[in-house]
Order: sequence, then structure tokens, then C-alpha cells
Amino acid sequence: MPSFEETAVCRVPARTVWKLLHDPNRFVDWWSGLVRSEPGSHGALIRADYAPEVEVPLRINPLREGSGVMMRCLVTDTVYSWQLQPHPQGCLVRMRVDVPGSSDEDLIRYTRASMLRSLPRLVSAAEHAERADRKGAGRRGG
Amino acid sequence: MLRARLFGRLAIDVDGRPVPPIAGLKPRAVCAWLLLHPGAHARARLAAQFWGDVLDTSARASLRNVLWTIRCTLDAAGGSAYLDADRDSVAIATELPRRIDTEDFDRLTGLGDPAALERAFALAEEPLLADLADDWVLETRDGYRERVADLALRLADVHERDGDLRAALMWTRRGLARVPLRESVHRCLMQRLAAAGETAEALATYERCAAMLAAEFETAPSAPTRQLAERLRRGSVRVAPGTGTHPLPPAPAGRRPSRPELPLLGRETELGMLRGSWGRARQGHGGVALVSGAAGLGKSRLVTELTEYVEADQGNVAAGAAFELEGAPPFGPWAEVLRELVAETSVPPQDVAWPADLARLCRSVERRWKRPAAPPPTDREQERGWLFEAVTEALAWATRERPLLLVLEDVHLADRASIALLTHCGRRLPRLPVLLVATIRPAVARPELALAVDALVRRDALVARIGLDPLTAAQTAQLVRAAAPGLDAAGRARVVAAAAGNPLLAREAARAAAEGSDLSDGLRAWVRAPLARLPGSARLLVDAVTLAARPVEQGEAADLVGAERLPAALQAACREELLDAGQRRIRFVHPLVREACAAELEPARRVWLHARLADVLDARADRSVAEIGRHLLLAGRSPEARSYLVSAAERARALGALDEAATFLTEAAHAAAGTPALEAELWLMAADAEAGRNRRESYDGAFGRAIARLEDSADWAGVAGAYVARGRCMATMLCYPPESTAAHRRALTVIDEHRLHTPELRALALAGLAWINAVSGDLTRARQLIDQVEALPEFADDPVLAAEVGLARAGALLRERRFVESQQASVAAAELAADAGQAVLAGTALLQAASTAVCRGALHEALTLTDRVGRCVAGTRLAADALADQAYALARSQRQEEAWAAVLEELTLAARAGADQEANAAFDAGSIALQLGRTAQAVEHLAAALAEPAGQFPRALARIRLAEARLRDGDVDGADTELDRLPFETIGPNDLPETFVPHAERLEGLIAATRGERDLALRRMASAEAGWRRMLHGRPQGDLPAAAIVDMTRSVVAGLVEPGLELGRVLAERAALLAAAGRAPEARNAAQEARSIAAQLGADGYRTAVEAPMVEV
Repeated sequence: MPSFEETAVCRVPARTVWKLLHDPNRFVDWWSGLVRSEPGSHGALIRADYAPEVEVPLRINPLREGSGVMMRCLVTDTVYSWQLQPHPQGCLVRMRVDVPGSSDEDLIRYTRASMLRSLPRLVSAAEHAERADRKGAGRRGG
Repeated sequence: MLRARLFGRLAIDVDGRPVPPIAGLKPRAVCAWLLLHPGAHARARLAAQFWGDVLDTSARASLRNVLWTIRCTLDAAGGSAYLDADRDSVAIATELPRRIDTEDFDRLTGLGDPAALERAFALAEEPLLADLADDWVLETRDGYRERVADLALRLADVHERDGDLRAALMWTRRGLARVPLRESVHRCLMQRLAAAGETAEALATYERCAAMLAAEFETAPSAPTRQLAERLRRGSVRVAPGTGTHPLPPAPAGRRPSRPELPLLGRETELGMLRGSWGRARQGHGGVALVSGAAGLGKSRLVTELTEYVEADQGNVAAGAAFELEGAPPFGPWAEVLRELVAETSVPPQDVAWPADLARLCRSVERRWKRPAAPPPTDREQERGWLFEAVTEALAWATRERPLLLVLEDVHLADRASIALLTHCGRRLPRLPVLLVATIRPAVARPELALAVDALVRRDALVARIGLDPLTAAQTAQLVRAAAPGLDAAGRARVVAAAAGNPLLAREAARAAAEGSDLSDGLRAWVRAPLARLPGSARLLVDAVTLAARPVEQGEAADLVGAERLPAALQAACREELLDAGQRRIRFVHPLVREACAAELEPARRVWLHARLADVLDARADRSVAEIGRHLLLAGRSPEARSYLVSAAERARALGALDEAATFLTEAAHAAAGTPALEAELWLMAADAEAGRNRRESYDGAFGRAIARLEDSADWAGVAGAYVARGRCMATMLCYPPESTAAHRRALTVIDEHRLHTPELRALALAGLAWINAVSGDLTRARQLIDQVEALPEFADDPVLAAEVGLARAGALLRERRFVESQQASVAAAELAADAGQAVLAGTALLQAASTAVCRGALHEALTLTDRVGRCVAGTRLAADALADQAYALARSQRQEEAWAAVLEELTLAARAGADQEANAAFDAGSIALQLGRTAQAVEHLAAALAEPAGQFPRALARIRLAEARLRDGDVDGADTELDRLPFETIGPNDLPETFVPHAERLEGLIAATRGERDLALRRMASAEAGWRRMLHGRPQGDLPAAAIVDMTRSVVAGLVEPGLELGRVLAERAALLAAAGRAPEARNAAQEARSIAAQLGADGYRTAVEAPMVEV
């Protein structure tokens, strides 16, 4: 089964990233290639830019070990794991993607490219949310 | 004609053609049972006898499969007609010619003439069904052993009457060999020996009897036996040399003088700490003291010093040691401790229940306190809880007379069950006059021991932690001088260097150096000379204790070497400083010495000794089947070993020791390699045990092996049965619904493809699929499947299956939000289960009904139902969950004092059950306290729950509630810190992680508001509000209760999420914030919607919860 991993340091508390990973409504904020996402009976329903007319169910489960979340695409059987670890600068985000061996080369290539773009976007979205919070925290009036 | 031999191993032939061995333990056991019990037997009775702990339908399916195996095996010798089975009953045909050796035995003993009696004796020389070890087999075997002994004694009487005293003596001896603990037979032999003029041998018999009674029961012979011996002595008959001179074993009260002790050096501080802990314990403030150190550093010696101090201080002492035998029985060291404790403690009152639970672990309870063991509860978790509580009660009872010192040695070797019990009892000791000293070798300690220590620290129950360092060179030299006074300075220096600060090595090296041995050879070489000096019986004793791998009872030692030879053997072994003898047990002076002696044992002698140990232990009333199985395995007697290991697993399961049960079964399965049917049977049993431990990977491994063996043997009914069992396992214990569906489907496919006539399996597979679809799949399909199951004739025969299907129906209705009908279906299922005597299933169904009642806001009905759960399964985990539901319903009904009383009752119940349930109860208590506004108590209980890793509550939800409790208690930074920890909490698949984000954002909003960060607060509240609205899926306000999400496997405190209530709460809090920000119109809108939600939700509790934050609006 082809798989790839990537890690990134995010300069915000883990809980900011954790909220982004647990909220299907906000997947579009960071998941590259997603045009729509919302909660679904298995966890989430997503639509990707290469086939926006197809609604794809995504099963969301917590990771068995450590902190993080595992998302399994119920159509392609691709598994996306996101793990968070404490880090002196904020938190370390470890992404792992397992694509089924039977997948065609195009899907593997597309998945790799989009997920490698998604990790920095996730980091950026979390840092942006934190900056916005800090700005809000500075203003005490209504 | 069918001829069957049950004495020895089961062997059958038909018209002289041998029937091949029946494959599988269960088929063989069922066949043996049918042969032993002539006549027709109802299938239901037979199924209950052999598969008592599963559904009736499942038991009948297993019986059908087993009967098929028996029929096929008999058919191989043309004897299938002998299995007479119809729809209702089963028998080994009695109208066809048959000859069973047990029936011959009965007939011959009934005839009564000597020739017939001798033939009966010859028939029964071997033990009954030697290759089976089911409990009923062991009991029947003991019964036959007694009958054979009686038969021999009858023959002795006959020969005595005929004047043939030689023959009378021979038969008396044969009888005595089978009932060596029967004093009257010893006396009879003495009389006959005296009559034959063998007074010396008669007196030697008396000594053997006295030694046996002392070793087994710590008692002396009765007055008639003593008087007979006295008359024999007065008869001026010369005692032959070598008899009558053995020293008798010690009087029960006295401690046997053991090897001379060397001074305790370098451990004064540690001994002082232990004495201090004892001083506090005897005042009622006990606890656990941990003594750790490498092998030979003096842990045992330190404990011995403390023991002597405590005995001099009028304290009671009970000690046990973990077995060094791999695969030892569960609770081994505790069983030893309890045996001593029961012997030393007065009989508890008859109206307390705990001794009957304790009797399952400690057989002395039955003998000494006359309290038979209570049958184990069907709920395995409950079994462990009751057992642990019984042990704690026993400790408390023992301290009514004297304070107590418990010693558990070598806990690093202990089984998991023993460590769990240590943790459970240890936590209660700070309120008891009990000091528990545990010794460990840290280098080999296991992770569960570290967790146990952690749990004790958290409960302030670890009163001393003593680490032993090596002795200094000066201290070692002092010890060497004491051990070998004649050694010169150079020799002493060599010994000190060789010992490296280890007192045991220093002592042994000093002795070896004094004998001129080369110190570079090490301990193994140092024990060679003492071993070589031992006479035969002493060497046998040392070797047997070596391989027993635990302290040996005096009675066991007497059986091994002969009661009359034991005292001299023991004296010799103690003189050589190899063994040490306490009041009842014989042990090595140190585990390292045992290891050295073990290394000296020749392989052939090992095998012989393991077989001897197995036979000796098997003949004892308090036999440990786990140990026997282990020794048989090491003796190369695998077929017998398998049966004992399976029996050991069943006993371990009955004590709630699932880890040990899984180990025994896995070993038995490995030992069955090459016999596919048996291997498959054992792997399936092992898989079931692994499921009980919640080990998915191990389960899959064992299941895969079982299926491979079944497919190899083309046993398709077996394959279908295995998949049905897997489906049930995946739906219940392991909780993988898709896997359960796949397994049930596979079972149905196998049944259809191979055209199997297995209606029970079909019913079970359909019911399993129905249940899965009802709780998490297609509801239409679920209803179709339920209808299919209910149409099967097998369904009508099994009220428990009907109850389970009823629960499935209730689950389906709940998913459709048809709360009233779901509640009714649950109650109906509970009644069916209760009528069938299935209290746990009835309690589960009632609890589901209660939770449903809470969901629909019918709080009064919920209270009535939780009361019924409490009555149905009093004192169980379900009862604790019912109390939590009750507290929740009461809190919502604004009955605050009653709610808190229910919480306290749950906490009390859980404190008796174990760390995991205690943590669950703490979670419930903290959650209810938060609801009741008892914020300090909420913080206390939720923090306690989260500190316990064994808890099975939703940890992330607990962290969120703890954050809220801290915030409401005025600790804003603390609340923020708790939220920071949230991402690192374990989240289970049923924990509804999608609800955590709105929960967390609401709290972040409240924290920001408290810090005056109003914009951020409003943003967070808006985000939380949006989250809860999404979860309502645009549901109209009149239908808000129907939006509740409930996990029926938990109490509502942990498993109920009400998006409507949460939305109302957030709106109310946001309204207050908007009002404070001067955004009056928005505040009014939010407040209005919040009030409207409160009105829709109805109950006062809802309204108060929603309205409370709106006071300022």
C-alpha cells in the first residue's frame, strides 16, 4: 500500500489545530482540493474539485494511540491520519496517508500532491485563527 | 457389541474394531458423560451441562455439532447406531449389546463375593478418564477412588475373617494408598500389623499417620489412634532398627528451627522504616510498603526480620510468594496468604455473604469455616469485583482480633490478577490496621506493576518505598567473617570481591571458600557439594521443590518423599542451607539458590519429577489444575496436559482472571498441534478469552488458526458455528459492528453453500444481523431480519434469544426516535430475560428503558425503571450505572439532595468494585455535581476520575467538564489549562468527537468573557451556537428532545448529548454577553430563542439550566 508521511511545526496550541481537524465544516479552510465539506452520518461528506458533483463519505475516528484523528474515505479506502504532539513552539503535526495498492497512478499522484499542500494550509489556518483570537483578545470593548 | 473403557483413557471398540480417538475435548467429554450416565437425556439438559454460559440456541448448536463428531467417529468402527439421538433427547443406546467397565465395576461390587470384588478392583486400578480434567470428571474420579478404597478394605475384612492376615494386610495397604488421609484406615493397618506380630511396622505406620496429619492438617492423631500406639509400645515389643526413630514433624504452633541466621548487616535504616510503618498500621493507618532490590540483596531477610518483630508484637502474619513457574494459576500468592489467614482467624458470622465468594479462591474457607463456595456470577467483571471485595472484607475481619502483616514476595513474578488484587486491597489499607509488604526485583518488574504503584501513590496507600543497595565492602567483610569464621584475610578479600556487595553471594561464597571451592565458578558450582551430600530422599525433596517453583506444603512434601521420610529429608536439606521450613511450607533459602539447583538437574530426571509432581498434586483434594497441566506439559504428557490447561482456564475465567485464562488456552492449543479438530476447538476457546480481554489482534490470530484447522478438516458446521461466535463477539465484547455483519453473513453463506442442517446457527446468525442493523445499520433490513428470526421454531424455544431480539427491536425504535415504543420494547425484553433467570440481561434491558425515558423527559418513569435495575442486579456495575441515571434524572427534576444521595451511593458501590469502576463513578459524581452547582466537588471528582487510567468513561468529555467546573469555581487559568490538555485525551469511537468542538468553543467563550475579552468571547459563542444548530439539522423546536444522541452502552451521564439543551444554554450565555456589550436587540433575540427552547424542553431542570445565565438580560 503506497503511503507517505510529512510533519510540520505549528506555532499555536495543539487545541487550535485539534478543533480544525474535528470540525468537518472547516475542512475546506485547509484541505487542498476540497470545494465543500459538512458533517455526515459517518463523520463528514466532502466534494473534491476534480469531481465536485460526487459527494464522498468520510469516516472520522479518533486515533487509537495518542492524540489525533483518522479519516477513511469510504469510496477509495484511502486513510488520512493526523497526529498531534506537544512541541516547545506549539505543536507538531504529523500527517500520514495510506492509499490502497489497487489505486491507479493518477489517484496516488493527486492524493500525494493535494495532501502535501494541505499540511502547510492546516498549519497556516490554525496560526491565522490564533492571530485573529489574539487580536480579538486585545479589544475589550463591544 | 460396544465395549467402552473409562478407567484409564477413554477407549471404545465395536465388535472388536477399535473406535479411533474422538477428536476434541468437548466431544470426548460428552461421549464419556453419556457412557457414564445410561439412559436418554434431554438435549436441553446436556446443552446446559456442557455450555452453561451461552445462549440456549448456541448451546444446542454446539451440542448438535459435538454429537455429529461422536457419530462420525463411532461410524469409523461401524458403531454409529449406538448414538441414539432425536430432536429432544440423546443416549448411548441401551437396547443394543454394550459393555462399559464402570457398569461392570458397579455390578461386580454389588455381587459382594471376593472374586468379584477382586475383579472390580482390577478393573479400576487406573484413574477414571485420565485424559480429561473437567470439573465433573475430577469429582467423579475422586468418588471412584473412594469406592475403590472401600472395596479394598472390604476385601481386607473378608480375608481377615478367613484368617488370611497376609492378604488382609495387602488389601488394607491398597486401600490406604487411595485414601491416605483417612486416619481410621491407618489405625486398621496398625491393628492388623500388630495382629501379624509386626509391632515395629505398626508403630512405623503410626508415625507415618502422625506425620501425615501434622503435614496436612497441623494436627495430631486422634485419641483412639494415640491410645493404640501407646498400647503397642507398652507391649514390650522390640522396635526394629530404622523404624520409630524419625523425629516427628513440629507441633503446629512452633516454628521449625531453620538454618542458623547470620547477623543483619547494613539494613538497620530500612528495618526501622518498616517497623515504623508497622507501628502506624497497628494504630489503624495501614498501607503498602514496597521493598525492591536486585536478587540476593536481602529483601527476604529484611521481611523475615520484620515478621519476627511483628510476631513478637502480637501481630498476625500471613505470607505468600509468586510462583516462579511460568503459567502459574491466577492469584497464586494471594491464595497462600488467604489460606494462612483463614487458618488463623475465627469463623465469620453466617449472615455475611463474603466468605462464600472468598471460598471460590481459597478452598480452606469451605473446610475451616464450613462455608461452601457461591456459584460465580455470569458477569465476569462482576465476578472479579465480588472476589476482590471478599478479600478486602476478609482482611478487615482478620484485624478484628489482631493487627495484620501481609507479605507478598517476588511480586515482579506475580500474575496480572494478583497485581490487580494488590492494587484493590492496597487502596483500602489506609483505613485498616494492615501493613502489606511487597518485595520486587525492579529490573524484571512489569508495566502493570508500575501502574499499580502509581495507583497506590495516588491513594496515599504507599507508606514506604525501600530500595536496597549493595552492602559496602566493610559490611560484606563482616558478613563473610560471620559465615566463615575460619577464613583467612586473603580468602575473605577474595570472597568480598566476588560477592560485589550481595549478601546472599557473600554467604554462599564464604561457605564455598571455606570448603576450598574455586570462587570463579559461581553459585551453581557452590551448590554442587551440598547437593552431593544429600541422602536420596532429601535430594528428591530438594529437586521436587526446585521444579515445583513455589513454596511446597508439608503435606505435598510428605506425598512426594513419604511422610515418614520427610522429617529427616527436611533436616538434611536445611542443614545444607538449601531449604528453609516455615510452619507449613518448605521453600528455598533464596530464588537464586533454586535457580542454581535447577541448573544441576538432569533433563531425564526433570521429566520424571514433573510427572511425579503432576501425579502427586492430582491426588490431592485441593489440586491446582493449572499446576498439574504445567507439570504434565513439562513431563511430555501433552494429551493429559491439554485437558488440565482447559480446566485451569475455566477456573481462571470463573475468578475473572481473563489474562491467565487466555494464556492457558493458548498453551493448550499449541500443545494440540497435529490434531486439527482439537486444535480448532482450543483456538476458538482461546479467541473467546482474548475477546474477553478486548485484544482484537490476539483474537483475530486465534480465530484465524481455528478457521484454518476447521477448513482443513472440512468441518463446515464447525466453520459456520465459529463465524456465528465471531459475529457475536464483534457485536458485543470487541464492538466492531461491520466485522460482526461480515461474520454473520459468512456463517449464512457457509450454511447455504454446504446445505447444512443447522437451524440453531441460522437463527443465531439472523438474530446477530438483526441486532447490528438495528443499532447501526439499515432499519428496514433490521425489521425484516427480526421478522425472519421470530418465524423460526428455534426462536420459540429460547426466551433469552427472544429477549435479545426484543432489545434489537428496541434499539431500532430508538434510532427512529420512537422513544415510547422503544422503551416498551426494552421493558418487554427485560421481562422475558427475567423469566429465563437472566438477571444481567434483564438489568441491561431495564437500564436501556430508563435511559430512553430520560431522553424523552419522562423522568418519573426513569426513576421507577432505575429502581427496578437496582433490585434486579443489586451491587453490580449495572446497578452503579442505574444510580448514575437516577442521579441525572433527579438533578434534572431539581431534586438536588436526592440526586446527590444517589451519587454518594454509586461512589460507595464503586469503591468496593475496583479502580476502573471507581473512576467511572467519580466521573458521574463530578458531572452531576457540576449540574447541581457543587463546583468544588465537581473539580475534585472529575480530577480524580481523570487521574485513573483504568477508567472507562469518555475522557475528553471529562476534561471539558473539568474545565467548566474550574471556571465556575473561579479558576480561569486552570480551566484554560484543562482545555489545552483536551487534544491529548484518548477519544473512543463512541465518544461523539464532533460534539467536542462546540463544547470547547463555548468554554473558550466563557473564559474569554471572564477575562474581559468580549469580542473573542462573542465569536466563540457564535461558533459554538452554529455547531449545535448544525447538529439539530434544522429540526423544528417542538421536536428538540428527539435530537438527543444517546450511547446505550453507557449511563446517560456519559452517553447522552442533547444538542437542543446545549443550544439553549449557549444562546442564554450569549444573550448575557450581548446585553453587556450594549447590543440589546441581538441580546433580546437570543434570550427569546433560549426561553422558547426552555419551554419546549419542558422539564424544570432544563428551564433552570437555560434560564440561569439570562438573569442579567
